Amino acid sequence: MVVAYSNATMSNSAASNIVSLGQTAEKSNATSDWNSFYTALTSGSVKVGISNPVADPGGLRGWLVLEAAGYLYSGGNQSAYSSLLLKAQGNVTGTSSAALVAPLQSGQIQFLLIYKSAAISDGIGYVSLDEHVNLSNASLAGYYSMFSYTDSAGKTSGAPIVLVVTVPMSSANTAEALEFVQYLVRNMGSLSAYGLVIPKTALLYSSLSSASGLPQPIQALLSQGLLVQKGPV
Amino acid sequence: MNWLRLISIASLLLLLVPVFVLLYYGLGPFRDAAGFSTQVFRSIELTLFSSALAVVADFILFTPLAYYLARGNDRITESLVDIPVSVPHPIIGVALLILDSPVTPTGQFLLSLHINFYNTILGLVTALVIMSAPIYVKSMQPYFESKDPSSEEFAMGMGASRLKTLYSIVLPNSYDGLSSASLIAMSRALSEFGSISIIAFYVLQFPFYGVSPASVTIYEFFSGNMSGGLNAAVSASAAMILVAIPITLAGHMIRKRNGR
Amino acid sequence: MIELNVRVEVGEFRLSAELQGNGTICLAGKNGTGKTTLLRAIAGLLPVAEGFVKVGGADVTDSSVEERDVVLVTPSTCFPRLSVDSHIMWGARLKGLRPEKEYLLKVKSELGIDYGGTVGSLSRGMRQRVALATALLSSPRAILVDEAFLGLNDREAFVSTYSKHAKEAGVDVVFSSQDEADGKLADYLFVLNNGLATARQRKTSS
Repeated sequence: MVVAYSNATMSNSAASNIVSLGQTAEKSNATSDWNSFYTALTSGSVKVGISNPVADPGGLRGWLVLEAAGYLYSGGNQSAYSSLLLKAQGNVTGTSSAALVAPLQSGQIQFLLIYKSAAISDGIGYVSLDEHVNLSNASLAGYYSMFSYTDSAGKTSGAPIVLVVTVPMSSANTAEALEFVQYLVRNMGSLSAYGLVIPKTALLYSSLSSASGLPQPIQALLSQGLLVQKGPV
Repeated sequence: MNWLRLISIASLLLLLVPVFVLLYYGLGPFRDAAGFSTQVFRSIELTLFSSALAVVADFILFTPLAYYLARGNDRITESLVDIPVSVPHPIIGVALLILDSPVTPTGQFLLSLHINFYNTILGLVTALVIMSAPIYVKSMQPYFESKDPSSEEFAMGMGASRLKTLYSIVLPNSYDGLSSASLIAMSRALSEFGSISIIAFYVLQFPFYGVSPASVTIYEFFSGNMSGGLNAAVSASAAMILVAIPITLAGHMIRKRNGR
Repeated sequence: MIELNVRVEVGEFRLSAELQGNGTICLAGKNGTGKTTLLRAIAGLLPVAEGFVKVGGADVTDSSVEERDVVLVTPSTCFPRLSVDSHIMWGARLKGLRPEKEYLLKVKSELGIDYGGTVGSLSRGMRQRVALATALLSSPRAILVDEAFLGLNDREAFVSTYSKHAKEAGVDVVFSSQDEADGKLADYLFVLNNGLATARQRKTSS
């Protein structure tokens, strides 16, 4: 996750100020710098887009990012920044973070919590967040689970953001889809251009007791060592 | 056997099938409490409120245009009036977004006047005005045309300008045409979706903080972005229909009553 | 003084008229001969294809209806929601004139207007009287009466009283009629025949 901004954002003086605070904090990674950044961001002087958590996991993760940041930079107070933002009514919601990109570009909102890969592919600027906050590091899973978001859909705990692909067995073009999965696994390095963290080997999640139940192309990847079974679904 | 009447009624029923289906399932088999929740009723309130405001704005801003077209011969202007409804409605929403954007000269100007369209009641009403004004004009223009112009000519002969004639002589005698056109424009505004889903997906102002217009709420139920799913969408639709139908019918009854 | 020499075209119909006169002018002709067309042209409601119209000494050929100061009264002209008194005063008020209360009462009584209430509730004949009174009090250059003298029960007396008041106020009156004999009620008589106007002599003064 990153805090994205657009050219329109920079023409807003309060917002461009916040961007500089963010860039300072990126370099120093000092707690006080990050605290200044998040405090200004959630002060209500600018509009921050976080999509609807019930509709979009991206929105849920946006709120989790604020929780993690509060814990790390505001003396252990998880809700420091999120409650500030809510009280100041500085948050703007939408169906999905993608739906909020247009308002970001036209300047109706100044910042947007969104996936790094989306920010890169949409060509908008962003402030990179510390890995303890941005939900990117798989080995920090336990740390992330300290934070949670509760709503009508229930309680969701923080977890690393993992992109998975699956092929529904009832789909029309299963063979071609599995070929694509093979292609993806063989060429996943190219996805690093979009800010994705690529594991050394692709990981398989399967609840089957033995590999022989898997589709043939998947078994092939396993035997070629391009795929490693990680655990159940 | 009056075949014309039979065929006419049959085709009308065909047109109304979706409405009947929604009413039946929404109030019956698919009935879901979420469809009749506070959230839905607040949405319907917002839609009614903003549509009513839009119609008032239509009356103030566009009645002169309808009169001008009725008493003049300006074919070009007449066809331009239809443009907003000839384009896909989201385009109007996008246009308002750009108009209001701080990176455009128009947006900077509007910003200096503290005018903001995004997620505001003003933006919502503006979009509704753009979408409902054409049908308001299309309704008032033939009404004005059907009025005997001799009293207007009488007033003008005594020195009244066209505008003065409109306000002093024509409008006080046009209550039936005005109510009918207003109700028709109101039903148009109530049913709007495309433009407002972009410019005012929800409204962030008192007293409707966080409320979406009804059409957006129903869409969100249906597309799974609001928990409730299909049943909630159908129930909310039924609720909306029960509100919208009386208004539409009233509009047309008033027309009929004057033999128009 | 009304002076005109016009060619007016309405669809296929061609009207040619030349006339000059002041005081009360009667425009007579059968149906379809162009009386209404000519009156509307004088009022500015129809464009003149060729020629000129002069009213009260001013050339109004290119003036708009509002500027021309010529009022056209027809059997259906009225403002139904106004009370009789506000109706009659409407034109005068618009111009900022303030006729004396006595004058208003005098006009009303001489024109036989003795009802109150809203004009819309009056009989047709009464509405026509009110419209004519309204035109008179608005002090125009000329009043054109298109069939609005019809259906009044004491028509001849009414026309002569009305003409008298108009003359006192310096307002020319042109009225249309299907009967040439109505020429006796006017100072000038013009007869229209198939879109062509022919003058008749001035009535011997009285």
